[in-house]
Amino acid sequence: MYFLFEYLHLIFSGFLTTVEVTFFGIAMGLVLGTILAIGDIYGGKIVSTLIKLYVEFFRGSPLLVQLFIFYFSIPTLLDIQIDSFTVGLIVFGLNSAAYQKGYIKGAMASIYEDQMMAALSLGLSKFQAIIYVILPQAMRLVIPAWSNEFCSLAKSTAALLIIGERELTSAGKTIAGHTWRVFETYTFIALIYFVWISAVMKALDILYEKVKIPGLEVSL
Amino acid sequence: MSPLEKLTFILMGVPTTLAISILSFFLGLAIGLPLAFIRAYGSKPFQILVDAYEKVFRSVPEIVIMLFFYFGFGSHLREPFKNAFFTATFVLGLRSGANQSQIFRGAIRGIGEEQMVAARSLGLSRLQAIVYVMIPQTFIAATPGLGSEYALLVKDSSYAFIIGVLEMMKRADVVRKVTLDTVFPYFAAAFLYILLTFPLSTYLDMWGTRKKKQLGL
Amino acid sequence: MAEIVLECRNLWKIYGKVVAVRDVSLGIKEGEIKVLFGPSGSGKSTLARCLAMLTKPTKGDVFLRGECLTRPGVDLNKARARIGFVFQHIWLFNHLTALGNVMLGLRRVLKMSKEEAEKRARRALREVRMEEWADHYPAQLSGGQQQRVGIARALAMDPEIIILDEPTSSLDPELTGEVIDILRELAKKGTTMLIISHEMLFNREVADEMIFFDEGRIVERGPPDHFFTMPKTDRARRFMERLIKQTARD
Repeated sequence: MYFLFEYLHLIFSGFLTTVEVTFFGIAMGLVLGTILAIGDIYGGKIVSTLIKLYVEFFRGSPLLVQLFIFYFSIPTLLDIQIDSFTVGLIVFGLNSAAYQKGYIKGAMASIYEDQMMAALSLGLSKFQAIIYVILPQAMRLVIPAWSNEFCSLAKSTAALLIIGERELTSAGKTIAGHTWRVFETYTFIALIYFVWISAVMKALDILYEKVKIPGLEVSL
Repeated sequence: MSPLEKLTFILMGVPTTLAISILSFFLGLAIGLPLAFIRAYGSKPFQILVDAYEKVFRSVPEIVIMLFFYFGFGSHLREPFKNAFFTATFVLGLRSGANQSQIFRGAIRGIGEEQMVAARSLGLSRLQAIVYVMIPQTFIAATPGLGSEYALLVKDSSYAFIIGVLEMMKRADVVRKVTLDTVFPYFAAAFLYILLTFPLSTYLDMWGTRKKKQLGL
Repeated sequence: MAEIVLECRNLWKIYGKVVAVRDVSLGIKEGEIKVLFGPSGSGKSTLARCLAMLTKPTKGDVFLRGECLTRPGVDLNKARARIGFVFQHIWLFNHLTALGNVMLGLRRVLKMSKEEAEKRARRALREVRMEEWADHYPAQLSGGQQQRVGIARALAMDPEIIILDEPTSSLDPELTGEVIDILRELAKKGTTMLIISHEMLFNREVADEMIFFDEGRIVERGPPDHFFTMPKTDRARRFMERLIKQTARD
């Protein structure tokens, strides 16, 4: 495995790209997903239909297609240029939002009615009730599902290699191509994925235990 | 190429895409169902092994595993991994086995120990109780999850493109390269993938949810 | 003298540090009805499950018609098929209709043909007056109806003894009557039974012997009237008083 030391810089910069895209995707997905969830519940028929179409596109089609659409099709249609890293940020953010919307909506729906009623009875507006009563509970409930979402997103960033972005898997491919030490290289790459993803999931587990409200649990 | 010709060319990838998806689904079933029961009723060392298997496939990208098998074994022209179709199906099947094990385990947990005890009280052996009481209920409870797993496999079958299988994704990419049309082929592919996944997984979700409610599962 | 059907000798069941059953010996004879009662958590259910070999006793032996079940190498599945068991929380198989629930053991354990199993299952359902409900799933039945199917499921196997673990305690009060009626009929037919029950009027009517169970052991035993008139031990007396007060309130 010593030959891998020569390529550590390549592996490390690939790993950084993977981590950046993952965290950006999760964060953007959380913000956009929350907005979509609220829009779906309170936005009326047209808004909710549009949101459903959005979700169905991002959940129903392969990531590779989505990456190609944002790398080739959209730039042609809008006559702009987008580099592969930015495409990664956009696609993983939009894609994760489609999934996170489902989890957040599920969590909100499970606590919605009586909590809303209680909040309104105090004179809070509907918007205040969402911000101060519904979301704080929903965000706690959603952590386990969120941890799965993180895991599948982190691993699917490997797809970025098809638009030539130099993330962790494509670094592995380059090294395997140079050295023909295929088994060792990919085993090492797999190990990096395994370790960092497991570590973040463990951290999310701990977070969930810390913030969870006794007696309030839900299976999504 | 007219749009119709492009579409036809991409459509010809449907059988390959479906073959990868369906074969890997059943490979995953053959792996996942026993693993779930081992995880639920097996001895401790076996439970740990199943856990490790699930964890590895949960956090290592399918693409890395495909490259590992395809270039690792395939490059030395070793059967059967030099066949990209086989390798893709095999890897997705292993991954699906890990997913399905989790799906079935959740279903078993929902059914609970009492069904097992009730079956044993009639004199059924452990294996009989699993076959006649646990598995039928497990399948019903797992149907919505299995529907999503099928949809996931159809989408992930596109990773086979990376090791060169001529399925739908690859065909869409070929159309782009040949015609330099960067818009139509990918949107057409996206639409076709949704068509292959959405109706069936929605139906399974509805059927499973209704059946579960009817049986009080 | 009638033969002893099911018997345990010096039976212990220990979970970690908790002793659920301590040194209990008990036998049920052919045609006899024994009623077990006592506070919740006293180990009655554990004892019942040990007798049915659904749980392995920690120490001591269980005999079915003189055959030791606690020896290694005994075919417990065969033994369990000869001991009927009715659960407190019923536990019907959710994916099968009432008929399917009753047929499962007949087909898979007694290896009957489909026709024969169905005939026998329908007869058992008729005995518990559930034949019109044969095609319903458990979730479509009331608690009382479910428990009647549970009894039919045990009955259909033609067991040598039926153990009933608080068959009415998970039911709403207005549903217990229909189950009690069925049990009364079984008692009249001379079915050998071990019943855990706090339905004192019923107990008094059918029991040949009542056993007061507390803290994992038999505290006091005797004919029903003994408990209603002059229980010897303090604990039994206090428990009876509480039960009678409660029954009066209901």
